[in-house]
Amino acid sequence: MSKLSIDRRQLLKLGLSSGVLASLPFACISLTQDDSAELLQFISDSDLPVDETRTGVLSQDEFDALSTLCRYVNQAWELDADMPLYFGRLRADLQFKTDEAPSYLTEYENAVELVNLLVSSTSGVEQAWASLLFSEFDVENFSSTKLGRARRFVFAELITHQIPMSGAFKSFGLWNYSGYFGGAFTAPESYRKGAA
Amino acid sequence: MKSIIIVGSGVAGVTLARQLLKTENDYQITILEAGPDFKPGDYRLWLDQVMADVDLYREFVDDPRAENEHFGLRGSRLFVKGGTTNHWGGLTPRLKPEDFELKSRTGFGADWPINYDDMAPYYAEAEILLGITGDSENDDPPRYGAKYPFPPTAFTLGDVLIIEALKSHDISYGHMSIARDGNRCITTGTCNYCPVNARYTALYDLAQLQDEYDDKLTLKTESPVTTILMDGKKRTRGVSFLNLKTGTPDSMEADVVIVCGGTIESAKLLLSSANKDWTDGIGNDSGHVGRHLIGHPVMDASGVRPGNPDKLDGELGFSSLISRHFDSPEYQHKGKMWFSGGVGANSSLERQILSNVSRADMDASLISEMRISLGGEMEQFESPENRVSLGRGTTRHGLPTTEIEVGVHEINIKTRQEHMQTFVEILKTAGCKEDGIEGNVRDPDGAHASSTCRMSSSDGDGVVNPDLQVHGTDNLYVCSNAVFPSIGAANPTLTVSALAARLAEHIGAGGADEGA
Repeated sequence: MSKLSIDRRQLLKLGLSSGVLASLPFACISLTQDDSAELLQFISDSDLPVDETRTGVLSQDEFDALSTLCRYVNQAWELDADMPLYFGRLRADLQFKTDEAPSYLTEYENAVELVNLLVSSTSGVEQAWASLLFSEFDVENFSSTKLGRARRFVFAELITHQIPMSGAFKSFGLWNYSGYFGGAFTAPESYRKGAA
Repeated sequence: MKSIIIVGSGVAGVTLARQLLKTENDYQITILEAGPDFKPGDYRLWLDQVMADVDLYREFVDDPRAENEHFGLRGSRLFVKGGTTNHWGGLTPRLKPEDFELKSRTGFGADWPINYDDMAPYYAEAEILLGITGDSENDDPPRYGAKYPFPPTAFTLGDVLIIEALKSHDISYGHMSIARDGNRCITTGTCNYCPVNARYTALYDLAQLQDEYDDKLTLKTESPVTTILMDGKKRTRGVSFLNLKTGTPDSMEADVVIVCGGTIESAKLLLSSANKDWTDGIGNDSGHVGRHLIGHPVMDASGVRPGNPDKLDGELGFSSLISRHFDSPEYQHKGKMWFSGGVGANSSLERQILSNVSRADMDASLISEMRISLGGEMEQFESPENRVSLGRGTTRHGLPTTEIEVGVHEINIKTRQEHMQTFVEILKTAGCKEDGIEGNVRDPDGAHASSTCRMSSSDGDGVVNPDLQVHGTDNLYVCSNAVFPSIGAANPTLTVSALAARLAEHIGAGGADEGA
């Protein structure tokens, strides 16, 4: 099986910041051509989730695979959020996204496949996520591929959920953030820095 | 028992229904809404808004069409249960006393046939109904002791930067009055679809009414009203409508019909209901139906102020500061204006992570600068050609398409430039770099559109009388921005709600019984 190897210099050229790379082991990230073919498989160009009427609940293994993204982001960007506490909220919210139409269940399952694929073929979870999030591919209609859709419907949405719901924004010195339940409107000191 | 049809489920129709149903009179009310049903406070919808930035209202806007150059509709109003309050900003200033005397004071437009003092008690009632936070001590305009249900929002530290600049220019300011339940709001900043229904929407209000009065109130969604049916010239007997779910025409009879379809659709319904007695449309013998269309031009300017060591950011989803300094009798002849402001940090953390910006760079970005923004709305004077009329064909909501003709009054163009220059000076005083200040002026749109069925004492000057009864009819009413003879520099929703409360009182007193 031939392998497509990407070393740290190439990752930097691809846009990975030194901060993220610092969290990675020095081993290079390797994507096999088979892996790349899987990632770039055409899925759909629909703006709705694939199989949006197929409802259900993610298995614990599937949830665990997706939640490694949140651990990765929490660690690489030093967000200092209480992840076990957050995962309870995340689990419940993902169920809201899969138990009624438009259901994200199939999109999540596709994303889990990619996570498992990359984790098994790279040197670990961190390298897998660096590739899944930031690798660039010179293909047409990337957004319609398995990875393109996973980035849009799953990875970007999970990170957008994580920042407010885990309280991660607080590590930046912010008091409130869109989507966070900041506190009572009539008690501004609970949700913003100082009440003038 | 008196049967009442209300056309439209926005704030006017729902306020009317609430006020009528809470009396001891025996009413049977049917609300006919052109748009579909919609759920208030649904957690899944809210999650989609937060996680995917989904535009929850994309299906409810106007059809794509060629917009009028100076008055766009698409995106500004919604065809759905609860109407445009589903995405409104919640700002609720009262009109001021001089706004009711525009013609007398400036020579432009028309006077209202009622005055501020006539409206004051209904304003106070509407402020309770909409659950408004505001400064009860601010007597401009006079409150006559009326208290807001919730205290004003405190100014933010970002507001203080702007306030200092306003003081330097001797520009007055105050607390914004907004329709957010002070006890319920949890400041998520997702006000476009509130997860806890703290921002007032007619959607949630109507859902509550349906629970409270399920035997007296019927809502028919996807039921656009196409014609007002008349028995002779003076009395309506009901309406024809389409059942979009089945694709079949239908009709309903009632003792009273109240058109609450907003400025554009209310005028179009009167026009499309032309018959042998009303050959140019109901209430249109003097040619005023559809005429006098006005709205609010919107102005904004923003600049970058170096440094933000305290990482100041704005309120999330609402403003707490307003200046009505230019909304005064002295500015009335030039076009009044209110404005607000806010401070924003570079805090889109998720976008930076998804762009692989390092933590160190994100931290540096947050304290490097802040953006200070000012935005306001200006009174528009009508031009003689301003008009709404029926277009050819039908929209996906089952209503006739819309034709709009408007011009921009030259005084408004000149005053916009003056107000924009004021914004620039304030921003410079607040510390913004002059070369980075950007300003925009946008023409009015459907959000605050008004005056197409204006209120007048005589049938030669308008479409409805001071009781909102269509001139020349006994039991047909219009209640919407359409009846405003002028709009001042105030968002219209509070005034619409106040007029609805006033109309409910009139009907409750037997106002629609003449000729029955």
